Amino acid sequence: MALLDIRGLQTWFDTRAGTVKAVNGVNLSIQPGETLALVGESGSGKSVTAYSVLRLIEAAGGRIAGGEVLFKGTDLLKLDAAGIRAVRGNRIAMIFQEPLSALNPVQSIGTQIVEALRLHRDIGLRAARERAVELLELVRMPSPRERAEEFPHRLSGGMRQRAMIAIALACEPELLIADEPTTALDVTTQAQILALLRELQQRLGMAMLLITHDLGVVAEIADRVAVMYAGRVVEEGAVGALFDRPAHPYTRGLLDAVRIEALPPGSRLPEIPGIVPSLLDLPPGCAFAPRCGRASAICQAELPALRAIGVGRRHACCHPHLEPVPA
Amino acid sequence: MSASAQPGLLWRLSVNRSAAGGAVLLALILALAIIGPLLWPGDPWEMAAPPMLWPGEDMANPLGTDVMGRDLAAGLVSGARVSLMIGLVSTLIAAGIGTLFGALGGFYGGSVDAVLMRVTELFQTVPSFVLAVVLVAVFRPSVATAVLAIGIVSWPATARLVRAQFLLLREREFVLAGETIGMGTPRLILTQILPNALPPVIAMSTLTIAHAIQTEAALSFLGLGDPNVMSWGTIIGGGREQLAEAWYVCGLPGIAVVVTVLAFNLLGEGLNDALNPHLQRR
Amino acid sequence: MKRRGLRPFVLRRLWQVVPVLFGIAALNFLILQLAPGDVVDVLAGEAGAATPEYMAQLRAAFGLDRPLPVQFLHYLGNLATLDLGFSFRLNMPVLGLIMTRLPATLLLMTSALAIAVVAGSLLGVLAATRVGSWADTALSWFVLLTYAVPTFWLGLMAIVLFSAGLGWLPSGGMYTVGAGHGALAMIGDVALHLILPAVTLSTFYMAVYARLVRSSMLELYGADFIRTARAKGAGEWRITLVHAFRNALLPMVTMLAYQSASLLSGAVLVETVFSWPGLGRLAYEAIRTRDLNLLLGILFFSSVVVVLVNLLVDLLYVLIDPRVDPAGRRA
Ligand SMILES: Nc1ncnc2c1ncn2[C@@H]1O[C@H](COP(=O)(O)OP(=O)(O)O)[C@@H](O)[C@H]1O
Ligand SMILES: [Mg+2]
Repeated sequence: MALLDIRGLQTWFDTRAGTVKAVNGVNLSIQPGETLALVGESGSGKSVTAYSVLRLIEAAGGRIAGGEVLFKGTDLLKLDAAGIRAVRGNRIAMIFQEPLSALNPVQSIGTQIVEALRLHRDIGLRAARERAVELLELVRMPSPRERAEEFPHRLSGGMRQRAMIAIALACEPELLIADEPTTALDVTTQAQILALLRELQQRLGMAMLLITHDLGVVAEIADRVAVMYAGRVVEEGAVGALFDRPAHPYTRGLLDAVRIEALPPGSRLPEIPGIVPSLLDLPPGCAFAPRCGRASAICQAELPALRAIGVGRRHACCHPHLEPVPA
Repeated sequence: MSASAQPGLLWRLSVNRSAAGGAVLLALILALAIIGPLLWPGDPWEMAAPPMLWPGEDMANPLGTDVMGRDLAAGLVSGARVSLMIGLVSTLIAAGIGTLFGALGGFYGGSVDAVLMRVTELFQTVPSFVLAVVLVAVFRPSVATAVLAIGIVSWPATARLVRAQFLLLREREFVLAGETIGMGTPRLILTQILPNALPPVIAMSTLTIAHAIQTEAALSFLGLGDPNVMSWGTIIGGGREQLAEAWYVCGLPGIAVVVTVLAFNLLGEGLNDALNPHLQRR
Repeated sequence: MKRRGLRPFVLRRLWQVVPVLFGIAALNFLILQLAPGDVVDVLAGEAGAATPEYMAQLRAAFGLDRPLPVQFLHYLGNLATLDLGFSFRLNMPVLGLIMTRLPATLLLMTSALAIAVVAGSLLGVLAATRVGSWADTALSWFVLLTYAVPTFWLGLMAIVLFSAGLGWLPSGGMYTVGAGHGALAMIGDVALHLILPAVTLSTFYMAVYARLVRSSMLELYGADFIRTARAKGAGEWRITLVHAFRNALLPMVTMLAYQSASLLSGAVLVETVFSWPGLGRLAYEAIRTRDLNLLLGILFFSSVVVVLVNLLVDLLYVLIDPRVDPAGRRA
């Protein structure tokens, strides 16, 4: 059984201008221990998908309009408030893009780790403090005992993100959701944080949903990759297979230009010409059709479902590319 | 900018509920201050009836009489005139001083600005009401000293606002353009910067009037009002001794202060919203 | 964590106080100079409270024949040695009078501030957690009205209702004459007398803080670290109090510094209404007797109190916001 199985997730924002269908029927699954990378242009709904899993989206002004989020078979969307709190930070943890603003400015990082521990574990203050130092050691924080007393603004960007990771790992979650964890960091620090994440993931055997803009990161640490466009997953598969043979014209547009072996870290998604459709008023058919060279009448008329093409490979396109990317 | 904003401004004000509410209240108070003396002719100091008549007890004195038998309705009308006048004139003084200090500091910057800002801070440190009390007491209570004292303690906020505006506008293209075509400094300040800096000053001044009216009432309450002028604070101060027996003597003029201050506050907030649509209100 | 450089910070801030005190002194001197009559008329109180011989002696001592700058230096010297002159009406040195009245004013101010901070925070948090509810709407009306109500009039009406009408609380003074022996009874007696003036003085600030806390809380609810707290599994109360409210304290302390002067002004009026034997009541007595020297002394001294309170507030800010580097500016 999949660790996390998202089925037909719809997350909408009711705004003055109308309903923004930020996530509109996302299907995704993550196996225990695997790393799934979620890529896509900015605004394609990656963060909203991630927040929806932990139901953090109501506080951001959105609502989950439909679908299921099965975590080991339990639908997280059906849990009561206490039920979802028991999952947050405990069995599923999350780290964010901007570590400085994600940390409480008036609490030392030690206190913030202790809070994460004591919310879910029956552990004394003193023991929690010790454990916090161990966790900082685990994330390779230099002089962890002293750093535990420091406030976020006195740490470097990399150290802040390490502290965030320590908070997330406090209760040894089965799934870590990382929303662009390295975007705000400089290149060297990015590499260190990614190496740390990969190492911890393997050591602790947790699964990871890694949201990123960075194809280099995908190639380096993901097992599988899912590509999002306008609130839907348009293609997914094992990293090698998907990079070699992108089936969806959107994915192909992203990957045509790049070669997996030659990807330096920090390689951003290439720009694709055309305008992303408004999420307020999506066309009835394929959302990519207006930008797609292969679009036909059927693409405008009906929404292509995600269909399997081989083991673990799926795409949502009526006119997929079947040939590999020319060398 | 300011000229073309006028029609839009009126429209924005009329749809702004708090501004509309404030304006209506204010119109009522003004009307009372203007036509009141026609309805209740005679000297508010005159002892017209038996003392401590309750409101409604005798329709000749609809709002009753005070401890000395003076008609309260006449007193309230007189108070409205005094309050509005003192509030308005002292605010003009405050706006004048504040604009001058803020404009000079913001325009010239450097040491001029530093000195002016120190003075501004000084006036914000000294408890303003205590300073007003001292000024009025030292220079003898009268309408003129009240107006001056309130004006002198009320300008710092305006100075800070104008300074901030000048710092912003100083770097704008039309000011630089004026400078390049050789406009003199006074002309530059008066024709280019000041008109654009003024709208928020007007909004703030509306709030300053509200505060000035409260200050005037407090001064008269302490016995620092003009002995020849009956203001709301004077009536409240006079009614204190018989507070338990005839609380309406203090109560009614107090309500008049509340309503008037409320009207100006509402109008000021509404103006703030209408004049600075980009600034979010706290 | 032990904060670095706290002592130099305090010393530096103390040093910055000097020019402010100088400015206050200059302002006082200016008023003296502009006052009708000469300085000694003002200092000795008008209407002949002091003997003509003494006035002549004072004129000589003040060197009124000497140039203004010398007179100013003389005046500064007096203030620096805390010589605020003599009140001929009350037959006591001004400083002594002020010192006997200061504790009552400080008690009133701190009580009012405490009430305002606690009740204002409660109201603000309540409104922020229920935006648009009837409680939120009620609060906005309360704020609107409170901004318009003169404090002294509110005090009078409180007396009408709670003392004259219901008879629950004393209408003025600080003690019941001849009642209550023993420390506990005395404290209870003073506390009873304190309730009305303190609540009256606090009302305006309560409204200010409620409004401020509400808007800061709403802003903070959108902050990333609140999202982190939620993602950790913290409950709404924990998020509200431990994370949002703790951060909403910061703007409140900043506001405190802006308001210390106005709080003192308010205390003058409230003390007058409730015959609370503090600086304000003293000022009222000075007005009644035209004891201008005493009035100027109160002005000088209350400004000094404001300066000191602001110093404390700065220190408090450094203590509660770890981002402030006491050695420099905000990080
Ligand atoms: N609070 C919000 N209100 C309205 N629209 C929102 C809100 N948050 C996100 N959105 C919309 O949802 C879409 C997806 O956003 P997001 O998931 O953050 O994109 P990304 O893939 O870059 O992480 C965006 O187009 C954005 O406009
Ligand atoms: Mg995102």
